[in-house]
Amino acid sequence: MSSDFAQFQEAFFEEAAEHLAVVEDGLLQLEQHPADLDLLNKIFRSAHSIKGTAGMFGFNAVAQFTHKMETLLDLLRNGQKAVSPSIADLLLTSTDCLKTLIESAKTGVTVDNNTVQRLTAELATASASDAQPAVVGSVKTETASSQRSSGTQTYRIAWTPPDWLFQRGLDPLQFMKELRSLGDLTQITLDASRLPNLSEIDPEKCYLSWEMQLSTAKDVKIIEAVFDFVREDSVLTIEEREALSVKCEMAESGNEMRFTNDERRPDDGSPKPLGEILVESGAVTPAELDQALAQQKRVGEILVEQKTVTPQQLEQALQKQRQQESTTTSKKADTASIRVDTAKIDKLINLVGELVITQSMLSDLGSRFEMSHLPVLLERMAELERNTREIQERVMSIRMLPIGTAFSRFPRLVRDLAAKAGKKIQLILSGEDTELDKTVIESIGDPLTHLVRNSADHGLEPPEERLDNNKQEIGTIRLNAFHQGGNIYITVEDDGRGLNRERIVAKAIKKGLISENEKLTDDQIWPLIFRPGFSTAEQVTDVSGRGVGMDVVKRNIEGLGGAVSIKTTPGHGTIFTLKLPLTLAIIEGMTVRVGQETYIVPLLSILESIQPKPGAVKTVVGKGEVIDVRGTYLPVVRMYEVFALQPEITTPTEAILLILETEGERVAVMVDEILGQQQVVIKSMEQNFRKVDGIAGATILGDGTVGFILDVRGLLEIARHGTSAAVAA
Amino acid sequence: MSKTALIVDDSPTMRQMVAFTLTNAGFTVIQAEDGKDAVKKVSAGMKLDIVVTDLNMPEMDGIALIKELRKLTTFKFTPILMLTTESAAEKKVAGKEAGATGWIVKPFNPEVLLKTIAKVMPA
Amino acid sequence: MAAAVESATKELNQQIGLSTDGSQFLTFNLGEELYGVDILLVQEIKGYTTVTKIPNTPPHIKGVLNLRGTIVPIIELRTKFGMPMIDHTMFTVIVVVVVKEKIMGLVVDSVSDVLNIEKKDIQTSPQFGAKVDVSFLSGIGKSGNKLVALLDLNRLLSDAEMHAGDAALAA
Repeated sequence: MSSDFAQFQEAFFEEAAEHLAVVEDGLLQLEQHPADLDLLNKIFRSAHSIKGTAGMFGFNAVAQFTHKMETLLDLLRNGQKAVSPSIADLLLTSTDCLKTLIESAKTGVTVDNNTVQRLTAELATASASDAQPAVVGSVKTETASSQRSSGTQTYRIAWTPPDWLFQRGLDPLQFMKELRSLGDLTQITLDASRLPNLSEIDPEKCYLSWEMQLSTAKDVKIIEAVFDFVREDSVLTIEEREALSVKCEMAESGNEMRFTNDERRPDDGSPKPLGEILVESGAVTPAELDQALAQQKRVGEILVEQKTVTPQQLEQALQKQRQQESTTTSKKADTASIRVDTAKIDKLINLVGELVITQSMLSDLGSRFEMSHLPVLLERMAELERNTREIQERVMSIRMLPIGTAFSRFPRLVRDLAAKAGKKIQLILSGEDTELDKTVIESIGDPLTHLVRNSADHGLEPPEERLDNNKQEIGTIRLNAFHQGGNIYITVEDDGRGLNRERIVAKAIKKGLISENEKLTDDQIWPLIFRPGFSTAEQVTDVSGRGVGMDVVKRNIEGLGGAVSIKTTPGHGTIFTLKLPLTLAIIEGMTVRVGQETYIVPLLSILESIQPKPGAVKTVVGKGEVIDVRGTYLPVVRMYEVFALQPEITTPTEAILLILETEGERVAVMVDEILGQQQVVIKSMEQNFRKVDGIAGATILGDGTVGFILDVRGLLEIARHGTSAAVAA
Repeated sequence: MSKTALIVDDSPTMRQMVAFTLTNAGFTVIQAEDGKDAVKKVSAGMKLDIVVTDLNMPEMDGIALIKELRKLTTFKFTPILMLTTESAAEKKVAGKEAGATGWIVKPFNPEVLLKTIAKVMPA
Repeated sequence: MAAAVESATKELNQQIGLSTDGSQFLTFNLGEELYGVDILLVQEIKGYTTVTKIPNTPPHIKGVLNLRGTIVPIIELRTKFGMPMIDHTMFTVIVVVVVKEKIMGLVVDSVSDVLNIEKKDIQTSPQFGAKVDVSFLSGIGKSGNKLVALLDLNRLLSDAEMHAGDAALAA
């Protein structure tokens, strides 16, 4: 059996992150509602949970720091201190610090100790005027003494338990058993003299006392420990029989610090450090030991001094060591787990149960099938289909989490951004319960952050400007999430000044993205801000990006199979809409045919499909074929050429052209025929083979054969440059 | 017959750790995320051999849970251990008054957990 | 007790012709020649079904197959070894093997037998017999009067065509 809980660390970090979010969110709300007791209790519980669990893994820095926060929080919730802005600020900063401490426990990255110490001191000051609970007890010296005695001793133990012994689920026999496990338990005498008359007996009460004799090599402390749970309420005497008698009156209060790390170490079997032993034996004083330790040098330093290694060699070796450390930690971070609501699992189990029943009914039917049973068969098949579909949905929902976890960072972010920019901003969140794939949630955090920053920084005006324009002084940023037609939409909306058409056009011309006399519609202009290197910020602030950003947002969202769109009204604000697939495991696709082959084209990348009129497809020298789609010339890619397939149709006017968009670029892809639209489960090609250019993955088609999912970007690359294999050759 | 234990803690990590240790020690483990959940789970008349509960929990805390359990005939004499932190001395007293059998101080290791359980649970 | 069981097992194995020393090989035919793969690497043998051709891959990569929901690449061994293609018959099968946790299928003319080949009967540097590129062979084994060309599946798998990364590195 595992001797410690190290394997649960991953779960702890996940849980701690959630608690941190609760604490942070709670503290932010506390600023508005400083007297909300429920809120304070919630914050306190989360801090308390982090402290307790961190200690289990020996993350003492985390536990100690949280303890300081908890002390202050406890005073606040008990009403001994009032929530002031400075206390709220201190707690928020401390939460940040706690975050880095936990991160440090996870990755081993060092923490700025000055900050930790400063905040620890500030927390202590804020909690002052109340006596601090004694954190470090005197256990250590006791432990030392407990190791000293050796040889078997005989003790006389007299015990009168509290009368409520049974009512707390305790059994006197248990105590005897435990004593027996320590040594030889003899001469047990029962004292029943306190037993009242039968009529007066309360059968739930204990009226008995015992005297016994224990021969053991164990220390008296260990014997006392047997009575841990009752010794404050018992009359207990433990006397050493021969020699000097050690008498312990157990009515005194015991020590609270049972299993601290200090105490646990000797039990681990690991020897004590030499210095500690020397101090205990009185050979040196603690001060002398500290001094000696301060002079102690590291192996590397000694070797350099002896000229065994050069400082360069040492530096290299140290670097290697750091690398090894970082690779081990990063490996650890990769094992992601997911926490699933038990209700979801229960439902799934029920469904599997149904599936098993349907299956057995079907096989029963199959073993003695006659044509007359056909209606029953069809009915069962329909049931099977329903079961399968439901199980698929449920299994997919296991990966689904509410988007609120991705939203939770924004109240704090907006608060800080507003403070820094001298703006007044209110953030309104809605649709936090909208569920989407865990991987998607993890990946949209950064793009969303960028959009929110963009709105706070560039979108919303300073208060004076807003007042001048007859707007409310306080600007609003709205984050909303909702489901629609198999997709998730997330909107980031501000009521600021809106995008500036003239400035974007001027900038785009300057950057050479468009030519000066190009006539562009609004819908063509706004997406320009997603082009790499485009930034209209007049001044670069330290919170918002510098030139990078919007292009990264678009790339990240498209990487998830999503899309970004913009709607803006000058003077009234801007809405960014992110359209995302519900899950990464399933995509909505258009099935198309080229010769004998079936391909799936992701629906998100399809703008339209057309059957070109004669003459619409033209050949441009040096550029290949193009098609005029409402005044814009798009390159034509014949799929059969790129994938070396045997097509049925080679004349564009008889074929279908799919107008696809990838990373802002449009292309017309020629296929024989569109077969239909369906959801497909994405299967990995890399699992048993390798990445294939132009193919995003595979899927199982209705007839059980494999179909490929088109990678539009990859297809375009091959059309332009050939496959990477061909390039290599 | 394997012994049945109920672990009540709002921290899933703690629950997992205790459940893991007890399952390995041959227990059947039932988990509850707070007092209310625990009461709901045992109200069907289920018999338990031991209860391990955290004190600080939303909905119904550990003290209230212990009081509730002791009211039920089936739980009158069942060993109930509480998980405490060293700074919660007054909680310990409250827990004892409510009828807790004993306590385990966090942080603890699997060995301490099993030892403490063995201490209060009739074989 | 344990020793008795062991000796009984050994006896039983000998009776049914299983090797107790050396290895067992699944042998199959490609034209006139007999090839073998370590039986421990064989996951299953399935009848030939149509596969989906992967675009822009060399001819011996026949395509991919749906094996209970997993996408498995299929290799035409005849093409790989430079033998002329023949039409698939009712004996044509796909030998599904697992190498380094990757699954692949090998199209062969027909399966032959499971043979014991003792270590001493395996010549590790083959100079005779097989017409194929010897770099994909781990040796030539002898069982009775039969000669079996033993395939080195690791090498077949690490063939640059199976990994895009290798091709890119070569550039």
